Amino acid sequence: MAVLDIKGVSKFFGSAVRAVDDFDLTVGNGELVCLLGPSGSGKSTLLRMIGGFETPSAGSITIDGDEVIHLPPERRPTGMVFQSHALWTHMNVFKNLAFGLKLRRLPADEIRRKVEDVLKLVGLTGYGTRQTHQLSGGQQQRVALARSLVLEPKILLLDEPFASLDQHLRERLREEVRDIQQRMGITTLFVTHGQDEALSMADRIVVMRDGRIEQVAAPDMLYREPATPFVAGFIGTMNLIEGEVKGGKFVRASFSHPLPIADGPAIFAVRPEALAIAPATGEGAARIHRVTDYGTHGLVDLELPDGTRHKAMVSEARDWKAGQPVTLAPRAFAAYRDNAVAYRSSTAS
Amino acid sequence: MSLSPTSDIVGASKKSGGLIGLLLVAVPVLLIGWMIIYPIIAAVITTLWLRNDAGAYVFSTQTYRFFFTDGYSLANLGLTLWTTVVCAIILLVVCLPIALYLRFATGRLAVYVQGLAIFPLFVPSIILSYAFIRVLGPNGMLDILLNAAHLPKIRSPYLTPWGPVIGLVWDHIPLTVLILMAGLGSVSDASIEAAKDVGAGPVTRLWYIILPRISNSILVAASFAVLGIFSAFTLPYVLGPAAPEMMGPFMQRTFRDLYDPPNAITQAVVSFGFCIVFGLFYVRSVVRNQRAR
Amino acid sequence: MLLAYDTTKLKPEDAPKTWDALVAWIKANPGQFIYNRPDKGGAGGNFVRRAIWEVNGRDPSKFTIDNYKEFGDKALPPAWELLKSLAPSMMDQGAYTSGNTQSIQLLSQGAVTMVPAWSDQALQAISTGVLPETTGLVQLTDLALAGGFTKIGVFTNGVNKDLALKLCDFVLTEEIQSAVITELGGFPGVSWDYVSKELHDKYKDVIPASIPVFPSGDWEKNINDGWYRNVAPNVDRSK
Ligand SMILES: Nc1ncnc2c1ncn2[C@@H]1O[C@H](COP(=O)(O)OP(=O)(O)OP(=O)(O)O)[C@@H](O)[C@H]1O
Ligand SMILES: [Mg+2]
Repeated sequence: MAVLDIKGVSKFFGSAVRAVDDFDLTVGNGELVCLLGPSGSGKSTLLRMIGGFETPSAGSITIDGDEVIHLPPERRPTGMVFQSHALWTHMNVFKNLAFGLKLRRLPADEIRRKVEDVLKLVGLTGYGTRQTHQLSGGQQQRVALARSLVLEPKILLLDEPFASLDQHLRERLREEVRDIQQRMGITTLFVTHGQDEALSMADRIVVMRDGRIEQVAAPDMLYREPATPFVAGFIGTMNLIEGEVKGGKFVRASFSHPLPIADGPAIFAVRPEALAIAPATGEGAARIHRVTDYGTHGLVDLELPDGTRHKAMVSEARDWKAGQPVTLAPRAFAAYRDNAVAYRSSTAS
Repeated sequence: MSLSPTSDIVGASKKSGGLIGLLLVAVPVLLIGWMIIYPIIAAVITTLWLRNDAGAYVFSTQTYRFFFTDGYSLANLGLTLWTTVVCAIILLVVCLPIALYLRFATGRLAVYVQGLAIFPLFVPSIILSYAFIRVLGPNGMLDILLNAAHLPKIRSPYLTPWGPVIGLVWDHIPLTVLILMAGLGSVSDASIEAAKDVGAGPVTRLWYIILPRISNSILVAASFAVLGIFSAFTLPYVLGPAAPEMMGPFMQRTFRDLYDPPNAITQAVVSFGFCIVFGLFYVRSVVRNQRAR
Repeated sequence: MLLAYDTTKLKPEDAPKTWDALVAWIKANPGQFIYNRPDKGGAGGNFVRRAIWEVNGRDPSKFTIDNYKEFGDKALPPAWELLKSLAPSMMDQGAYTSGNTQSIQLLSQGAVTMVPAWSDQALQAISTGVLPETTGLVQLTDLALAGGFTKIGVFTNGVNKDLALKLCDFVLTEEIQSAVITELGGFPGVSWDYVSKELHDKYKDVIPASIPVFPSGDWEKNINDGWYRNVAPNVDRSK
């Protein structure tokens, strides 16, 4: 349906805040891209610039090759779903959905048909005459989604639409949204700061930090091959051990491991599930601080002699005890230097 | 909406036994009964049971018949209604843009505008009146400025019906702006941006999204303005014409200068009758609003 | 009670000194005179009362505190006619201020040339600069504008009668009687003998031969209401 092209877009608030900083991204036809990042990383600001609610300080935004930067929101082919409180509470569900269609001067029977279709799409058939306050939080967000969908926008923008809902509902709704989006083949940008949400829905994920792109990748790649220590730490759990490389060996306190890169500082990255531990006879490399039993597996908190803590996953929690000395054996790992990957073991997971 | 707190109290009392709720409302209700309801009833009685020559009290509608057949009294009532309606319309026309601006503008200027809009709240009417004479009165500041620009003098509104209108509008701007802003506060940014998103221009947004959401506030603001203006005294007294005069000065004069309590109270009861009509409008809308929710 | 006027627009020698001259001046200079509503301050009230005397043979003695019942209906209507005939020549074709102070304010703004005013208020306004130095004061000589007295009474059987009489003596000293003029802006109600010659000469234009007083009683209420019903409306101010 449509291609969204963002080139060199920046947004400054005052002179100090660079909410979005020289951002480039192309979202392909029918693709669902998640914007993922910590609070304040500029996700909403970027989305609002695409929707026309903020004016970029620099850069260009095109939809199917047409520059939209100078268009107000009401003239952009985008549809935005807000986090909450966006329904018009003085109108019932039908009127909420029909409002945009009426502005487009469609005949009444066509409006009725379209509204009924979209209500069916979001699973709210028969809810047209409800007042908005007679809906649950999840139903309200579905109406908000339907209100955008009914206008068949070229680009669908969702800004944490399920953030105010509970875990279960969120999971169900994101599957529904994914289904609808794929069925309609609608180009979509989805803002979230939940990595589960991003990993389960997105074709590609953009990890943002301080208004800049940290990494763009498919969900599986993002998990397996994080490009920076930030991404590594942000997606899933990652032990990031800061230390020195000396003569092909990474050293931090009592922990050391072969690392075939030049001497100098480095960050050693290993996921808990890739960090094997074994009971040590003497001092060992680390000492178990705490063991947490999750039934299916256990999580062991390790403490290096210098006080830094790391995690390792074990299959049976009851095999381990706090205070026990252990040796560490990374099965797969990566090393970062200067905010980039310096080494990745062949079986990195 | 923000200006119907009683709904919550009543709602809560229904759930939690009611007794505490009743006690909570008992004090204001008793105060209203003592200080408002009782004087009203007393006033109606005083004007309907008049002392005849023999010294006995007999039922008589004479003071009301006098009021409604006396051209002078009716002219005063007419002027009061005219002033009230004109003021209410001007107030909404003036205050709605200010409130909208204050709701949606950001930055330094909005702070100053808000300060200015609230400022009249702190100026006593009597000071306002004399400032009015100095600025808009004959040979006042405006005339001096016009003269400096080689323009003709204005026909001063001082001592004409427009004098009180201008003064009362100025006086009621803060309250009206505050009430409208309270209403606008309940219109979320997201709901307005959502309207932009589906293609609504500024006028459509105002008419279909914003105004319906604050219709209750508009009604409250209008009711407050009407009730305040109908019984206004100082500004009509100082700035208005000698005749016809608004009900406030008329009542006061009848009572104090003509030593005529029965007719003064009659005028008060008639004024009250008109005010209660506006009051009922307001109550009806609040009730209807709650039922809709 | 006297008339305060703007000497830059009206030379003191041309200032009206009789009622007829005043009326002639008002009509010859439309828009330059305003008096306040009679119930809203003594200045306007006494101007209206002076008009009532005028149409009743200029004889204050005809009005007593208890003769409104027999005399009122005859005495007042001609006065309303007289005042109504003045209305078109008032400021704004028949505007009336709602207090002594507003009249003085209009005079100070140069909006009008002449207003009736209490002597004390006018003199004080001049001394505090509210009214300019060029403000003139004049009294009608054929019959003064009605005034009011401030009285001190002494009980013949009062416990401190001697002290009270001592106070009266003090009030009658030249110092205090002069101060009544210079500080309070009143007129010596007792006798001009108690003040210095210079002071007497300075205020000779405004010294009334006598200060007539209008009785209150039923007159007050009926003058007030009568004025509102007869004089204040029925004017066409649209011109
Ligand atoms: N109107 C504004 N004025 C000034 N600064 C702003 C404004 N809007 C956003 N910012 C700043 O821009 C930065 C990015 O904000 P943004 O809302 O885009 O973050 P976000 O990634 O959406 O965060 P969250 O996950 O908390 O919603 C923040 O530092 C924020 O404080
Ligand atoms: Mg956000």
